[in-house]
Amino acid sequence: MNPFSVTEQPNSLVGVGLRHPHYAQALSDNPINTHIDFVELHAENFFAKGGIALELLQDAAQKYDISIHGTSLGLGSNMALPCDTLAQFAHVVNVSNAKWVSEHLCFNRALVNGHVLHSGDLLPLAYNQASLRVLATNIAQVQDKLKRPILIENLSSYISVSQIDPMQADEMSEFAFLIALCQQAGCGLLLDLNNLIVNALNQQQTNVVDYVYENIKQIPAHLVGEIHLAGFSDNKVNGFIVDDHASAVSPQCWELYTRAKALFGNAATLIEWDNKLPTWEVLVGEAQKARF
Amino acid sequence: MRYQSLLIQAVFNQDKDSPEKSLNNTQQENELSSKLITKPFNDNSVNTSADSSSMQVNTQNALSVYRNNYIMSGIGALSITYSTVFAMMDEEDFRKLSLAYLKAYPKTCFDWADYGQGLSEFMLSIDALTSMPFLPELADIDWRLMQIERASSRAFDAASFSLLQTKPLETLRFLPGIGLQLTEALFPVQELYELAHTYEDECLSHSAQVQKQTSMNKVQGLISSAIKKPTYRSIVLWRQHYKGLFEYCDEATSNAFRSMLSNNSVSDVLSHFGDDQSGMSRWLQQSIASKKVCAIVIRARSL
Repeated sequence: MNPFSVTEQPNSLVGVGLRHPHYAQALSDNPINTHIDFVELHAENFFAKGGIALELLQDAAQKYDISIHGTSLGLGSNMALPCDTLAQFAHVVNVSNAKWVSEHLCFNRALVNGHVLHSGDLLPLAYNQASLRVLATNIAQVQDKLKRPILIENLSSYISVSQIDPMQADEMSEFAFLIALCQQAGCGLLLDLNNLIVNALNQQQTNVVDYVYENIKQIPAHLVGEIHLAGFSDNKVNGFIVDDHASAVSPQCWELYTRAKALFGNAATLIEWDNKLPTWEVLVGEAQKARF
Repeated sequence: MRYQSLLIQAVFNQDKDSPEKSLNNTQQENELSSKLITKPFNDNSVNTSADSSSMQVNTQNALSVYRNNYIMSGIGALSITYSTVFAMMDEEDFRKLSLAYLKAYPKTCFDWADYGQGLSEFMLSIDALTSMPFLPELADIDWRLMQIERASSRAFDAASFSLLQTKPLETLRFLPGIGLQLTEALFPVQELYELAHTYEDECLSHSAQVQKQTSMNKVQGLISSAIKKPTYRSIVLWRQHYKGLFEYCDEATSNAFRSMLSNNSVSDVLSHFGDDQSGMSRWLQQSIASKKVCAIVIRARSL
């Protein structure tokens, strides 16, 4: 049994990331909306104390099951989360009655000359015991507040920590780290297939889909609560393929998903498209492709 | 986990010429530089210098991806918070302003919506903006409106206004509308705000273009007047439904709102209209209708 799945049906639930330009259509009576099982909302977009954002959150929660996806907590940061930020996050989760709650395997804050700076981005961690301890502590802080387990998403990264500090060599693989994290923190995984593909491409792996599949086979099925599908732009930035969520799901990602479904059958599946958004109809059409 | 400080410092790219110099620590900066620029893999004797050089380039390129993400997210966030300033400025100039601000004030908050509070003051220090002296005041209005639109909601209690007929006014006070606050401006910020947001469509009809030109001429005249004869005008800001709003107000009105915000009694607030009964009545009706006031409550007894 998968404790992070909300269904035991063989066909997983399928949803889309709901972003601002699509609010009106997503909340309308458009018949195509019945093709969506759930929507994912970024927690920070609803951190306001009042106003239209919270009203929209409530409206969305009345119409769809909700997945709340945090993008700013940086749970690998070597410091505790401020109570007020955690309270804001918890409020969004509670108001939306979220079925899934997730964050990223990253850090984003550090003390620099007496100031805690926030990178505004998802920065990679060293895969070592020290990172595990920090993550497990911070995840526990969130889970204690929410009184429920959360999912942690694997990261797309363009640098390894050892490039910045050679003393911080990885002690284990990303996948061993993810599994150990779930065991220590009692969390689950949000498996982002596109991130894995982007990383493999940037590492110049030759057969990307096979390479990623061999790695994800290591993950016990019961740990995966949600899967992200996305695309990436062909235009490289400084020689890197960037995980920009600005395209349709890539052919590699669909191929990998077909194989991943056999491994993680009842994990919920989400189409993640955040930039250069298509029409609502196109986005819903992408979600429909994930039902097979 | 020293790498976390090093990596974040690298993403912010705090160089010696940047205005955020006060946040820098030369020792750490040198340490980072040595990590990034000298020999990331020198400890490993099998690496050739060519490999090292390639890795250094790769590291710098990777850091540039993060730096670029940070800058693009920051500019995007500032363009949303400061939508009027963004609309009034050339897009490239707004990017330059945002970049300078992002360098001067690295992000410390979790939510980008909370970032940028000091942009108005920062603009005063930018020589290139002296040709648009009204921009800092517009920025201040933008920031206030954003905060008002995100403020806690408060229910409008229409029934409570019947207390005005049944209780002594000294025992009552107004409950201000959501985000109600006062500020003042030298420049015609209301007209500038309307100009910025009324003609946002790039494909304006001929008549709209004529209207826009007329509005621009009027606003330019008002700006010239403000420079020739500086006079500050009071402005009241508040939220109606979901929208942050603002308007000019005269002396009696601003004094009445100031008194209301100080939790004074209804009689104290209304006393600012003196003998002008019709003015007082009009102000009260408009304040209730526009939700600048959301309820009447009985004052707590002072000890």
